[in-house]
Amino acid sequence: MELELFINSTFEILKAVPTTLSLVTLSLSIGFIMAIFIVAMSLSKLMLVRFFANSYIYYFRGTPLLIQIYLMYFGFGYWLSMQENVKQSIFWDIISEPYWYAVSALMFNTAGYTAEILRGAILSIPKGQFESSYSLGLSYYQSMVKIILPQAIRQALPAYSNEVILMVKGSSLASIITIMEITGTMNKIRSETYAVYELIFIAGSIYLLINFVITRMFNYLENKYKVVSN
Amino acid sequence: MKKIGFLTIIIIAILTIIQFNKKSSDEVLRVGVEGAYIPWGGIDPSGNVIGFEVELANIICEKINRKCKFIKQDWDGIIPALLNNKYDVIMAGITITEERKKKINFTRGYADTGVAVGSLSLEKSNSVEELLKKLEGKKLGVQTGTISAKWADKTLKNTIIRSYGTQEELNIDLLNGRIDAGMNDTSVWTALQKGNEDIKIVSPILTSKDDPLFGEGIGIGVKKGRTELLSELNRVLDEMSADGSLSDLATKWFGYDASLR
Amino acid sequence: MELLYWGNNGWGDEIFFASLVTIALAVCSYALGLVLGLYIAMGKLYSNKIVKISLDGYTTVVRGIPELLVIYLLFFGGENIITQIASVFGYDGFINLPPFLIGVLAIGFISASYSAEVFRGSIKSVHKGQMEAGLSLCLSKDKIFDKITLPQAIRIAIPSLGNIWQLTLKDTALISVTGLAEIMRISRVATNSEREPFLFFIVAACIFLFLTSVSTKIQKIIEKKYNRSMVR
Repeated sequence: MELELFINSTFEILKAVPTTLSLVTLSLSIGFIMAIFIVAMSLSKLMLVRFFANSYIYYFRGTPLLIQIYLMYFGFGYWLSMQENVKQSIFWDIISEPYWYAVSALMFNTAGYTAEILRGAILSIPKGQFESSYSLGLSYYQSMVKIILPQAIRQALPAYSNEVILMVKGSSLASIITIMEITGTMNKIRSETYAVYELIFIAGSIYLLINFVITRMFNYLENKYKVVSN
Repeated sequence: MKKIGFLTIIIIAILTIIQFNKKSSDEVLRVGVEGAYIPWGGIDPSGNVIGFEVELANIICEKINRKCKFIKQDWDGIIPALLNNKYDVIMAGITITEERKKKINFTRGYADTGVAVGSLSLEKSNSVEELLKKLEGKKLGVQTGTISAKWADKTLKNTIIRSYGTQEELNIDLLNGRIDAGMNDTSVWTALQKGNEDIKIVSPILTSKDDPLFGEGIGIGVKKGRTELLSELNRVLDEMSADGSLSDLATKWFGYDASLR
Repeated sequence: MELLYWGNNGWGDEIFFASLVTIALAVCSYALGLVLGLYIAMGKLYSNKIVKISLDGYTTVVRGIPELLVIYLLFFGGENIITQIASVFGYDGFINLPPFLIGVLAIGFISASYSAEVFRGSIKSVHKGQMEAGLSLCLSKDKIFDKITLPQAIRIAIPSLGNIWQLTLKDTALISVTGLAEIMRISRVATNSEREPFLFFIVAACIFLFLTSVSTKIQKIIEKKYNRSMVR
């Protein structure tokens, strides 16, 4: 592959990095908030609520992300776009774009996995913490938010860093529904120039770089919030 | 521990050898098809491939005394799979272009239906310039790795281009309005019109006269180095073109004589 | 619903056979991943610096790039690599690379990098005293590893290995891009022909959910068996 083509491809793929990053950050942030709700529901005393939360986690962890993305865009999105009133509404611009379907699928997926991570972390916190917070007069909600969750989040940091990296890798599946993020752009150039190794090298290196930065960030966070545990 | 390791490797070896038996033999011609590209080649519910190229392939196989075996392959990997020896020839509505000739050889062309834009909502354009204007600000769907994708990427500057893995996925989005128009081989739109009369062809039929990117017709792709197979196929195609059977076949599937002399 | 029938009128039989392919693919890649992963872990723990660094590089790269890229690399680039390797040995004819093999290799390599990390962690966590006891009994290093360290390491590793199995099973869906007739690919093909995306993909999702539940149950049985001698 000539140098010029290599450099041009690199720039073109680099231009797709913001798309990948925005997909990842959006889905992770909303997904995390959703996960907190789901975890709370899975620990609830009401069987129905627990059942819903557990089924949610079961579905999103048990099926491949690819199927989830597909169902979201070609299943739900297709049905949505066939409704006449949707086509005329102001939401059409959003509904006709694959971007939001990808974000939704990724967001639901990470909510399921994160809920499971948080659940493991919460359950590993000694019961003594709950008891002492009740004895201080805090309600269930207050103890969760002020005492338990901060400790759980610290516990969960290593596992969550894994989840973030999995999301970065999952974003590559958005290329299947025509979103031009890193993998999609790489595929486009590959199908035109048939140069396989160079392009995979470029795309792979970019992903590795992103994941490297993420790992470093989490290392920093883990060290900063390190606590001598019993 | 090492025993378990060897055992697993043996199991994997056995399972792959069972797959290995599909290697090239002199009695079978393995034909790579996309299976999602009507009327060239599509799949019916029983899983069989049907289409213009399928019938053409069967006729060719008869003439060269081989049995045809059809192997489905996604468009994106159709050339790499040939290079990996997954099949012997490609018959998947693949246009002969200079770029592709660098990787594989082609027989002479057997049909050409040109490229066109299909749409539900766009107005008809009678020239390429009009087309470019009408497409500004619109969403155009193309299939990755096709000549339309390359042309669109090169020529359309103010259009949102969405690249789909398969034509059917493009059709799904075209029909529900998530893209305004699609660009691919003309036959694709004529086939789509059969089930959906609202689809119109809104551009002139584009060929290599409009842009060399549009290639020199559809041909059979053959791996470089297989010169015997290539000349056999060329001979049969020349025969069929001379005695009119190629034109008849094309008319049967396309409604007009789309074959190449 | 008639689309799901067996035989010529429906896709039911294709979906069934595709599920078998998925299972076979997952089993083979997982097995390959386990064997390779174990050797990689041993290499990382017991070999010299050069081997350790290159193996570290391997696992970091394979775990850090999307699985799609690994699959594309092996699928689009496979022929070149194999032909070049073969020509070094003087062979110039055709070498067949069946898609199943590419799938097994791709997912196997990915699975191996995860398994390697799990094995490494679990081997390290076997109490050092065990090794010392073995040495004091005059057992050779190999024997110690085989008979003492490894069995205990495996028990510790089982839950994580179970996770990796689930991961491997789900990664098989990605092989659909190479055209192998597994569940995801059949669902896409059927959807494209019949234009009924909800139906086929929900069926595919259900099949995966079913496989996942069965795997979880099997994993619990294996865990129980290995933990038999542990006092709780």
